[in-house]
This record gives sequence, C-alpha cells and structure tokens, in this order.
Amino acid sequence: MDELAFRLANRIVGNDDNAPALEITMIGPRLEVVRETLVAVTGADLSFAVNGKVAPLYTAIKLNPGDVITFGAIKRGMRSYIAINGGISVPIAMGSASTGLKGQIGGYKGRKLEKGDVLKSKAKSISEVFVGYSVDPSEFTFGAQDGVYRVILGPEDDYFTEKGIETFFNSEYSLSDNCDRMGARLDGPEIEHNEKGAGIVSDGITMGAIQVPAQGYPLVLLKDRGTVGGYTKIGTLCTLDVFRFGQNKPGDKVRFEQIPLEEAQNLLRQMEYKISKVGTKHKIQALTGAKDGDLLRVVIGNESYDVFVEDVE
Amino acid sequence: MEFLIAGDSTLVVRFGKEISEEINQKVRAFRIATEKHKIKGLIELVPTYSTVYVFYDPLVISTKEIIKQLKTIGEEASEAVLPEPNIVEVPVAYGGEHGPDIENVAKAHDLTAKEVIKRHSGTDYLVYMLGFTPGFTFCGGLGDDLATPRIKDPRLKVPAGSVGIAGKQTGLYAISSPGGWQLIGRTTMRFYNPELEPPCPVKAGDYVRLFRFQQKNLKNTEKKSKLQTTRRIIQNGNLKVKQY
Repeated sequence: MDELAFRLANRIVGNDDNAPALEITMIGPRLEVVRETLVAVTGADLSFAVNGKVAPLYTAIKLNPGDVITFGAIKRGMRSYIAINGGISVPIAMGSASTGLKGQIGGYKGRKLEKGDVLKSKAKSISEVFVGYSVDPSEFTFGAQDGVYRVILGPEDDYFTEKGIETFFNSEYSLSDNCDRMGARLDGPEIEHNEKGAGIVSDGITMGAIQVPAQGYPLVLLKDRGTVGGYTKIGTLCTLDVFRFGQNKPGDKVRFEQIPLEEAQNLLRQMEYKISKVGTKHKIQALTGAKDGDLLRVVIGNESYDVFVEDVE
Repeated sequence: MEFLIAGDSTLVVRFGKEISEEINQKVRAFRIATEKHKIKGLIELVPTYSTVYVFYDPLVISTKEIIKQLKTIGEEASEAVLPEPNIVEVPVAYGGEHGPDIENVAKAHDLTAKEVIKRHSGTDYLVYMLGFTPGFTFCGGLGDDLATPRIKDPRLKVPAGSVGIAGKQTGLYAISSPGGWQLIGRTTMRFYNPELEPPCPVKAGDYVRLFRFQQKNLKNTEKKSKLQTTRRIIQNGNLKVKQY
C-alpha cells in the first residue's frame, strides 16, 4: 500500500525497487534470523526492535543468526515494510511475487504468513557497503501536510451539486472500522448528489478513486479494490497520496484538497527523481569496489546517466 | 468518443453511458486497435460496459500526447473488423440449493421456476466485461421478462460458480465473494483458474451459452470432474473441445 516506504526499504538494502518484501499491518511478526542478513524496516513506527532493543527505521541493519526481530505498540501509521537483501524468494504467479489474498494466489503460498514459515532470499552474501546506510523519510514528503490528501476532481464530479463538492473539500472525515487494502469507508458530512444520482453503469476504478454511494459517505478505493464498480466517483487521490493514505487506520481524521492534474503529475516526477538517488551510489560502489566519491547525473540529449566519480589520491 | 481524467495516471475513454451491444462493439474495437499500436508508456487497458480505462505512466507519455494518439486510434478503430467471438458452453445446475433466489425471480415475473430456467438457459449472452473479482463475468442481453433487481441484503459469501441476475445483467461469480445478485443456479465449470493461460474461459466480446445441467448432487460424480476439465468453445463456427 505505501509504495514509497516499500521502495525505500528495498533500496536501502541494495535491492531493486520491486524486490519482494513484507508488508506488516499494525501487528508485526516475531522473526528469527537464520543466516547473516541485511534488513531495513520502513513505513509505520510499530516499535521495531532487535533482540529487545529499539532499532532505527529507514536504516540497513546487519543481522546475525539468532538475532530476533519483534514489533510492539503502534506509535505512528499503520503499515510497515521489511526488506531483506536479495529480496524474499517466492514463485511468480500471474507475473507478480505478491500475495493476492482474494484469489488465494501468489506470495508465500497465497496466504498470510503463519508461525513456522521460513523466508529465504537468493542473495549469496551481504554488501558491506550498505551496512548502516540510512535515509531521512522527512525528505520524502513532497509538500504533504499531515491529514490532508490531494485530489484531482472527477471523473463523475458532474453527478454532484456544487454544495456536495464544497462539502467534500471543506469537511473533516474519519476512517470507520470498515477499512482494509480494498478500501476505506469514511464517516463525516454527507456529500450531495444532483438529479443524476449515485449510480452509473459498472465502470472501471482507478487506485485512489473516491466513490460516493447514495448514502453520501466517501469510499476511498485502494490497492485491492474491485476492478469495476457502479458508484459515482467525485475525485481521485493523487498517486503519491494513495501511498500516504495507506498509513491511516480506523479513527484517523482526513481532509481533502483539490489540486490540478499537472501538479499531481509533478509530484510523481519529484518522487521518482528523489527515489532514483537512493542507494544508487552504494550500488555502484558495491559493484565496482570504488571507495569514496560523488554520484552525478549526466544528461546527454534525451538520455540520463548516473555517473560515479571516485576520489583518487 | 469522450476523454475523462481519472487521477494522474488514468484516462477514461467513454463511448456511452449504457449497456448496449453497439456501444460494446466500439469498446472492443478500440481496445483491440489500441493494443496493436503498442503505445510507449501505456500500462494496461481495462474494457468495461461502455468505456475503456487506460492506465499509463505520465512520466513516460504526457496526458496530452496519449490523448492525441488514442484519438487517432479511435478513428481507425471505427473501421475495424472485429474477430469472430467465441461461444463458450456453460453447464448450469438451476434452482434448489444451487439457485436459492430462483423463486424470487419467478415471483417477480409471475412465472414458475421451470419457466425461468427455460428462458434463462435458452439464450446466448454477450460477455460485456470481466471484473469486480477474478473471473466475475458480466453478461447483458437479459430480457425484461427476467430482469430483477439485486437482493436487498447482500450475502457475505456467494459460492464459487454461482450464476445470478442483477437488473438486466446476468453474471457468474467465478470465485466465492460477497454479493448482491439474485442467485438462480451454479456451474461446475471453473471460471477462474490461475494455473491456466488464459485463466478465464471467456473474454469480453465472447458469448456464453448456458445449458441446463441436471445434477442432483454437485459434489460427487464422475461427470462433474469431466466437466471441470473440459472447455467446449465454438470458434469460427467450429466446436473445439479443450481438455486440461
């Protein structure tokens, strides 16, 4: 759900962005390390600890056989990501390594993890260069304000009254108990439809779409949403804010702010640019054995290159 | 053909706002033509009743540019000749424990359950789209004599293979899920098998030919296991029986 945290966790331990990792929802597992591993935990603060001692988030930590990872009280957010160097080794199903719980397919045997499960990676060894590598998550907020979610209007905004749209953008909503990876039902002031009503012929639903059924409550559709549905959609969260939204839990309060399409796409551009720098220098160093130096981006025509310039005596 | 914005990475190409075979032909034609063009930055196309959802990467292709390319394709597509649809035969055990709402449908139209079965199984239904859950098949073509609104209180769990009615739509729940459609029967044919390619026996534009399958107990018969491993598909007028 929080793709940004997931990608950062992978890059911090030297993986490709999309290497299979774990998503933890509120209650974390107790994991025992069997082989020397590099681990990074990102996203929510669920009291991540190693051998009983609080351990830092967004940092590559070297663990040895016998080390124990635990989680505890929920301090902030809802979902954490655990990446291990090499990525978690699972078979590919329908082109993906992730678990589809609804279809009982993919990931680790198509189900949630259970006691006794063993997670392996194909990595032969750790890249020492990554040990201790850490990233500051506050550099990845891209202008987001706590509790405010940026929305692009439409595609069925013409099914609502002016009053309805105003209510949507000027009210506080709280997450009800009905929320999971499929979507989050919000409680708050009713949003008014016009004479066109709340129903349409079943149509596609993009990630972050906000449906409003006849009863007037907003329903934010997330990663595991049904692919089609028949309720009118007043707006769509910008992609960046869908990831942030994944850190909300029942009871949390949210507000919506309208932004133009261009701004939302610029946010994506900023995010990709910033992420592309994470771990890149370390990766090159690990590959080439180069010592200290700088990472530069060189643009020639339409192509850009990451160039590592090594300090030489 | 209208273009709507659905967030920063999705376009909606709209051909209409209702369920009609004519509009759906346009949806199909557009989808086929767009796939042939292989637009750089286009991630996926999802055809629905009357729209095609276009998922793209705005960092690879700008919104303006992709709309321009899709407009051109749209104009070509209207001339396209669509491939012959497949007709997939689907055995359905109607009524009883497999169709707990068949009496609702019958009563709503002053018919007997037997008459409902006769009318429902006698038609080829166009598959408008797959969606909602893996393999859920949305069909249209239901007459006013059978069209019945959804049940008031959706079920928490609809058995896999259930065949239902919701308004003018008839459909099939490939996997078990919550659901609000009127359940009138059930098929033993697996409409979603992730181990097969393709995982679903039908795609949008195909037809399902439902036929009544008399079976008292779906749980244990040799015939049932044969049905599960056979797909009877009519392609270009020829019946192909595929064994898996």
